[in-house]
Amino acid sequence: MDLIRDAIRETFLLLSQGDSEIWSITLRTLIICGCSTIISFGLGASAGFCLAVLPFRGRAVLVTFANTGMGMPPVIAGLLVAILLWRSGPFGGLNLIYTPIAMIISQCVIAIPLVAAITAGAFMSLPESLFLQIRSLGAGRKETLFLLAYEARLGLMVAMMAGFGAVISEVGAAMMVGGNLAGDTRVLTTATVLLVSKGEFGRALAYGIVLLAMVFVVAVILTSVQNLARKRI
Amino acid sequence: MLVSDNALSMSEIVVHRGRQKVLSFDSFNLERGQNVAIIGANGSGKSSFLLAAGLLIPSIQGEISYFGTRISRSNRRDFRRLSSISFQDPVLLDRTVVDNLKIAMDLRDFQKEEINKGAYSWLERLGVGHLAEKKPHELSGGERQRVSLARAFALEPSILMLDEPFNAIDPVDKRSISRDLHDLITESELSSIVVTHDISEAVVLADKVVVLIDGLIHQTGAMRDVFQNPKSVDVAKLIGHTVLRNDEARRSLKIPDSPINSDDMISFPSSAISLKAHSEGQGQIIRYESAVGGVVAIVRLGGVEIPSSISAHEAMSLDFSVGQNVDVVLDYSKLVYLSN
Amino acid sequence: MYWFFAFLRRTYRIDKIFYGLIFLLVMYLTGCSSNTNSMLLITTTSTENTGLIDALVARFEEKTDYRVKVVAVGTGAALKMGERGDGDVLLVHSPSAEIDFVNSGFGASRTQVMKNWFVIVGPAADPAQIRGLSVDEGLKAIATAGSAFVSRGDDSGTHKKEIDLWKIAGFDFAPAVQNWYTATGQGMSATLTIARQTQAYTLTDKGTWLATSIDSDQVILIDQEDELLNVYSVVLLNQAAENINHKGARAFRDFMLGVETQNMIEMFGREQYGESLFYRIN
Repeated sequence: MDLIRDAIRETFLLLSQGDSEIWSITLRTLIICGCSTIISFGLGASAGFCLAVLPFRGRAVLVTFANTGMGMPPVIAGLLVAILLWRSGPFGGLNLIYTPIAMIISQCVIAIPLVAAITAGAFMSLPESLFLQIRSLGAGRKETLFLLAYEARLGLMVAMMAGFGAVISEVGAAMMVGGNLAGDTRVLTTATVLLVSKGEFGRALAYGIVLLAMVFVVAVILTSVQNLARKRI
Repeated sequence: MLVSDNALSMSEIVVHRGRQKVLSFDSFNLERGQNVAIIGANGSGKSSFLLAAGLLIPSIQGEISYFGTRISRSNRRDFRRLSSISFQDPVLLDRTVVDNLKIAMDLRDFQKEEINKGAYSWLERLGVGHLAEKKPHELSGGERQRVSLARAFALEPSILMLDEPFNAIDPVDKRSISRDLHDLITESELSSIVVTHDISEAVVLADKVVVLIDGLIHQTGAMRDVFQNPKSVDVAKLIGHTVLRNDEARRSLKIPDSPINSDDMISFPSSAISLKAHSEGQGQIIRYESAVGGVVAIVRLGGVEIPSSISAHEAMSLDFSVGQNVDVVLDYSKLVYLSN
Repeated sequence: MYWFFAFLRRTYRIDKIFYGLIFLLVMYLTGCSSNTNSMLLITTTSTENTGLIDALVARFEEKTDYRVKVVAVGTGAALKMGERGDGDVLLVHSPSAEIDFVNSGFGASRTQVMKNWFVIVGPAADPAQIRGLSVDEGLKAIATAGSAFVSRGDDSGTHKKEIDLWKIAGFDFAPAVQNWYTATGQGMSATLTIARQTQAYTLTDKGTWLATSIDSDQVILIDQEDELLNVYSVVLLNQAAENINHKGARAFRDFMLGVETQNMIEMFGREQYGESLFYRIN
């Protein structure tokens, strides 16, 4: 019990004294995960849209892939990206390993199937005649995308939140491709792991609380979105 | 045949869904200002017909022309603007009612002032102006259908296409909407195609009718012609005629000899049967049914069940209650002989 | 709301704007690391956890033009990465594995740069009565008494050392399973915690012990024996490999051997823990 009490006390001290390291790590976490979320949403939502709306052979196979991708352990994604980006790997020459870019890449690999699967589901749940009606009104490809995206906006929001949640709490891949380098690629999750391995449980808890706070904000937004959806039924 | 007189001309059309052929016919023409009803059962290919006419099936086989111009891949999107379609189960966007119209008009490249004026005025004309700022899920089925129609008209089409416009609407709404629709169509000189499985809609809204069964056109012609002279058993059944085998009919009704052999069928509308209450009558009313066109009394006569059109008022009177005996008279002028 | 849609329709470049923004943001992040004279030092997690590496690297960067990235992984991973040339220089503490590494041609050379000792810790009650015994006797006593012992079990330097010590005492634990011997597969700090919670003996390096010991119920029982020596070496990689910063690696090795650095190493942590965590090599 002493341990927990000490840990909590240390947490308060840390957060209130404004340990600059924790805030710079938090900012970096937000930037990296924010980029990943935006990129994976852009690519994943487009992929989901195509999967749901365009008729093509082998669509069922791709949808299965997306659903599998959702369940893939993130650390595997990290390993795959690392293998590609190591000096000994095919893309070693780009010198991307242990950089924030590498982390964004691995986070996108993790989040894109998730976002794609959720947006595909959201678009597929739109009535089929909607697509026909929009086309009959004279919408071209871009306009159809905008209109359908607005109709499915709740599902798209859920997809984006899910993507964000997935990347911000992920540690295995971030460790592997980022290397947890101080000042460069150290994010909240990897910093916490380091503190735990050093035995600094108090500080680790503090970092954990900041992380939880971010996830909590996302959860609040998600819940209010869902409530909005319920009202309109 | 002057092709340029026709608003829409389709020939040698074949539509596939997957491997199956869902629609196939030689020709169909819609003249300017003409109103056509496509009638058929569910699954007969009616919706595909409308989609084809609306240029929404790119992979279609056959030729389609609008006002004399052949439709090809390059001009298809442009010519879609000449028509507007309202689907059954009115498909509205999850935005305010007036935004639905505005967006549709914007997609058709109307100018901003035209959009503002047109959207509100058409909503008024269809009787839903007061719902302009509401969202679709707040409206009833009838109100949604009116909005969908308002949108279709606001786009100022040359050809109006409606898919089962009164599908999910209760009878009270149905009467007022179909009246409004009829007025709007006649006063605007639009050509129109209405797809329906309900004969009464067809009668109200169209002058010409096309009967579609299992993806093939069985009969087309003026409304009166088709209704009085169905060419086949399937068509007769579709338009609500009673179809009986010749020998069955002879057992119950007095029928003049048919010019053809006795294997044939005869058909007649339920309005061709009139009933007179008579305690010694040969027929007996066994039940009532609601059918296309209203209430029918089912009369058992000579072992055969025969429907007779009857007004709701008569149905409720003592003379025509269930179990009552009646005399049954057939109006021969409405009799049609069909070969099998 | 309709006007927004109308606006979007007319903004033909909208997707280009979107990707342009992303591109800019990504460029910003890339700009944070430049490539002139950068080096990748691969070391082990227990070494890095003491904080010594960060201090040494900081001094190295002050004295030279090099920018050093430090990646801490398990010993097995470190050697594997060295084999493939995924780093520029290694700092590990696994002498037998290092010798193999050099002999198979992956490493050009190994140079010892600092040392400390492992210690055997256990519950204050000391059920197997090993306090003050030699390593050999102590391990035999534990095995005979069947007292709980936890191992890193992760191919780390510490683990390899532990296996060697058992072998010398006559036990071959690499494949064997005894019910008093458990492998955690985790880092030193976690393993110590597990040992503490289960009242077991374990082998740990002094540095981690000093930095994390909090419970007087877990004490050092065997210390300062020759067999417990733990030597750290800088391993240079195969000279023939092309994309490795050999010059930087050599510079780092020379730095580690320098008088000033060797002093730094011994002074590190003295104030905080009352004794050195690492000692000079000579």
